[in-house]
Amino acid sequence: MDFSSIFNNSIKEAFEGMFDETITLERETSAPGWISSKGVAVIIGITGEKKGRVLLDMPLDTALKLSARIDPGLNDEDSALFTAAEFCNIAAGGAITEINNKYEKIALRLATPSIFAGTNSKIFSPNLKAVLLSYNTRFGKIDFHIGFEGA
Amino acid sequence: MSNKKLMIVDDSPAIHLIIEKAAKANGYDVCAHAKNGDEAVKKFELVMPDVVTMDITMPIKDGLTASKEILAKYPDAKILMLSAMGDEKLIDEAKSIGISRFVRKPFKGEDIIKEINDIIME
Repeated sequence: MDFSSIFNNSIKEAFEGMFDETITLERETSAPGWISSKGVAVIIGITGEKKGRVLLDMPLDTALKLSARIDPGLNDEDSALFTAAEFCNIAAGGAITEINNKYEKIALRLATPSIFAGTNSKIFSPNLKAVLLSYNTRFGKIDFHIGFEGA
Repeated sequence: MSNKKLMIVDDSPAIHLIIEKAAKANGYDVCAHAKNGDEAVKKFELVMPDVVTMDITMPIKDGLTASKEILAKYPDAKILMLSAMGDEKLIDEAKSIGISRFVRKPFKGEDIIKEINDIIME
């Protein structure tokens, strides 16, 4: 199952749908077992037949710009954090929907997002085999770490 | 004729803002906001909205559970389900509790208004 291309398509659709902007995949690599956050990290657990998680990481400045892109009134830190979480939720939701529809025996579900703010905080995800999708946008760089147990 | 009352249920402030702006511009009265299913059930009884926009994945109580509780007590409640997920199994689950309308995220304000107008006309 090529989960990374499904997630890549969904991330692009979510970004373009939410922000009316383009997002470009810069590189795809194996993700390390931990990340040092750029400033805003969102983690959404995946439950069901396959367990995993989606982790979004971006600088706070990027999150603030994205939030204000939806509406200039959403220019505070809380709005930026919730906008990042919603973007991660929509991107992950689209990918999980595609996987569920494509593979009849799989019924994956998403947990509610957890949001972390603060630069250089380390987030560890042991026991997951993860891929790192790094994107360029005109608002800054955005990383997605997508991992499944025993993938 | 008074404006139709809308309650917005979502854990994302951005979604509240998008829907509220579009709703007000189209003559709806946004009578309540809730950020999880538990708040939604409690506020529904207080404000008795004509339409509810309901997210699915929310903390404390999800949108499907909240909708089930509202529809058990108020079978004529009009609930428009919004979600980032939209697979067949989830839509079947929503239909089984009496929800007929479903909008996938991301959406534009005008998409939601069209669905709200349609559900009001039902």
